[in-house]
Amino acid sequence: MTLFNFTSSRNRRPRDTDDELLASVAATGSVSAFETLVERYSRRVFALIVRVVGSAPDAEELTQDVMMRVYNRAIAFDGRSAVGTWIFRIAYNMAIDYTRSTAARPDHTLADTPLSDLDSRLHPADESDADPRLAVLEAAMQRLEAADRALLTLYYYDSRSVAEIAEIMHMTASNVKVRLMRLRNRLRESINSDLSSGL
Amino acid sequence: MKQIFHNQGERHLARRLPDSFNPDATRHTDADDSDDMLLDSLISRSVSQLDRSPGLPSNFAYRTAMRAAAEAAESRARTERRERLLSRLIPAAAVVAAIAAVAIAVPNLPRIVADIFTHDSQYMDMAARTALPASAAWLIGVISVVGAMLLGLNTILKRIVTRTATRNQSTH
Repeated sequence: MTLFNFTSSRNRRPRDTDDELLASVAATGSVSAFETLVERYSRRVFALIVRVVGSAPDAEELTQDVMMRVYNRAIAFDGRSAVGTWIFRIAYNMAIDYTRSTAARPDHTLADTPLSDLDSRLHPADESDADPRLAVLEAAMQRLEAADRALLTLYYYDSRSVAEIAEIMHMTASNVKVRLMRLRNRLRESINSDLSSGL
Repeated sequence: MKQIFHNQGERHLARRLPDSFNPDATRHTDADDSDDMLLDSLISRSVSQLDRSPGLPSNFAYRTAMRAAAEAAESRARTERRERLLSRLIPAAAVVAAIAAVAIAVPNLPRIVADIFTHDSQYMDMAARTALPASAAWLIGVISVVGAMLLGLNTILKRIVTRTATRNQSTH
């Protein structure tokens, strides 16, 4: 059966640029080019999504859905932004839509989902134990809105520029700057107040 | 009350007014402001914990690619089924439309045909009386146009299907 004839190791295309890979996916539906794109972006897309949705299993599923959307909509990519920015915009939109849909569920409580799962999968005990500020900061970040967590992840984890973040999050660059500034102040205050009350 | 960060944001805020604020330029380079650097460092360490998390399984890319291949194959099969159905339906619809057009335009056609073969002028006269010259011509025109559009659509769909099939074949 032709469906399973491709072998990932033989067909990998590590030297192709993102644009070339996406063009190949758009023109011929190339699965090997798509697999290389997935390898390049899935980890960072997962990092963004897991920060937004709070649940690692859900984030894994959503990451796959994001990459499938990339595959199916490759032909619609107009080249006005970088491929990475385009993929992150899809990821951000889907993650935010997911949080809205789960928040609308009657059985969903915002308090239990994010922290319980993230604590076990993303928050190594040794690191938090070594620096109490880190644990406080982690807790403060979990209290932020989903979009704010996405903003911090894109800026600090993925090192995206303000312009790219603005494009991904449908904001102006000025708004991104102001929001980053407020978030930093808010996190600073959280750390100060939480640690002070604990001392 | 001990404060880990002393400036509480005002100094930072003043330096980062919208016109002058440039996080890219000040991300980790402002050595004068240790508080800001410390906060940046803490946030970076916090978000970089994602690197040490179990994250995605090692075969994630392969699984995703397999899913894409499976969905592409399914889509191809669905398109082929639709094409097969259309290739049967459209000619049948065209034939029915043609029969309907003739039946509306010349309702006495069978009798006329019989008249021709039997050389009986009775039905030819009747045909002349009952034919609907203006409306029939109009109806025939409309039905012909619709038929032509259907056949044109059929041709376009066939081209799309052929192109999709070529694309999917080159995938594997």
